[in-house]
Amino acid sequence: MKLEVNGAPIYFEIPILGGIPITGSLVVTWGVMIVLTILCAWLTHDLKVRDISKRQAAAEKIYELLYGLVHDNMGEGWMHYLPLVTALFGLSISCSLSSLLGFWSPTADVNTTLAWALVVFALITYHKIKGHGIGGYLKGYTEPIFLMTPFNILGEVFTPVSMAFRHFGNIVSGYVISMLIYAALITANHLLFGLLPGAVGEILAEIPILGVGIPALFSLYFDWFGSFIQAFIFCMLTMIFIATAED
Amino acid sequence: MEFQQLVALMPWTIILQICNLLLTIYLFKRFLLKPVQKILAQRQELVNSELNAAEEAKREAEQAKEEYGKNLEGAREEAAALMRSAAQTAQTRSEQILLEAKQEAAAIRAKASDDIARERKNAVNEIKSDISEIAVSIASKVVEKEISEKDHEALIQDFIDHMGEAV
Repeated sequence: MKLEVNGAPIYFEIPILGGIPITGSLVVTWGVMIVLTILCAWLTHDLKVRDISKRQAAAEKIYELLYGLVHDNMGEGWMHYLPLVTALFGLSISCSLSSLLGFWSPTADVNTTLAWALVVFALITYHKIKGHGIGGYLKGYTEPIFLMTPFNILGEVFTPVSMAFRHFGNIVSGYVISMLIYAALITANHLLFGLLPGAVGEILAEIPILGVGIPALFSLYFDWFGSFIQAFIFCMLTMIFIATAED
Repeated sequence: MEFQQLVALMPWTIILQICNLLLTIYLFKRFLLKPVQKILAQRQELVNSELNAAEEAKREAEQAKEEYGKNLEGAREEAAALMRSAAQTAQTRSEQILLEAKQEAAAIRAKASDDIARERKNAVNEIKSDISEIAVSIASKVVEKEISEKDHEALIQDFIDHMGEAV
C-alpha cells in the first residue's frame, strides 16, 4: 500500500500577479469564517437586558470567558486586544477541528499559522517601539554587549517562527499520525482477514473492520485535545508577548 | 488534483490568511463582542439606576421618619403643656370655688346669727309683754283693783326690765 502525505490541496489559480493559488487552507478558512459569523450572529440576535434566553446566556458566558482570559493575562488597559484574541482562538480551534468533518485543517498548513504569528509579531514590535522609542528598541538588540546582536535578531525573528511552527507542527503531526494509523490498520485488516480461506477471507479483507473505532480514539487526543491546547497556547503567547513588549 | 508540499512557503496564502484574520477580527467584533458588550452595559446601567432609586427612596424614608419624630415630639410637648394648663385652671377654679364657699358660709353664718339675735329680741319682747300682762293680771287679782293698770305701769316695767336681765 502506497501512502502519500501531502499538504493542502490547490484547487485553482487566479491568473493575476503571476498566479494566486487558492488552496484548501484558504477555502476552509473562508468556510470557517462564514460559519463562525453566522454562529455569532445567531447567538447575539435579539439580546435582552432581563429574562434572557439560553442562547443569550451562552453568548454572555463565551464573552465573559474570553474577557476573563484577556483581563487576567493582559490587564485592564489591554482590553482592546479582546477582538484579536477572540479571532485567533476562534479561527485556530475551528480550523483545527474542521478535520473532524473531513475537511483539510488550515492549521496543518504552516502558511496559516505563520500569517497569524506575523500579525502578532508586528504588534509585539509596535509595542516595543512604543514602549522604548525607536532608539531604545534598536539599542535593545545590542544588549548586554554588541556581540550578541546577531543572536538577539535571531531570537526576535524566531518568536513568530516558533509560534507558527509549534501550532502547525502539533496539528500536522496529528494529521500525519492519524493517516499512518489508519493505513496501518487497513494493512493489518488485509493480513488478518486474508488468512481466512476462500471468498470469505477476500471479502472481509476488503472491509476495513479494524479501521472502525480505533482511529476515533486517537482523534480524541490529536484532534480534540490538540486543537484546544494549541489554540489556547497560541492565544496565551500572543497575550503575554504583547502585554510585556512595553516593559 | 494538485497538492502543495506538506511544508511549503506560499506567500499568497500568508497574505490572504493575514487578511482573513483581520476580517475575522472585524466579524467577531461586529457580531459577538459589540452586541454582548452593549447589552451588558445596558444591564449595568439598569442596575445602577435601580440602586440609585433605592438609595433615593431610603433617604426619603429617613427624612420622613425624622419629620414624624419631630412632629411626635411637638405633639407630646403640646399635650404636656395642655395638661399643665388644665391642671392649673382646675387648681385656680377649685381655689376660687373654695373661697366662694367660705364667703358664702360666712355670710350664711352672719345672717343666721343676726336672725337668732332678732328672734331672741322678738321673743324677749314678747315674753316681756306677756309677763307684764300676767304680772298685771296677777297683781290686780292680788290687790283687787287698788292698783290701776296705768299707775303702776312704770313699777312693773322696772320689774320686767330687771327680770329680763335675769333671763
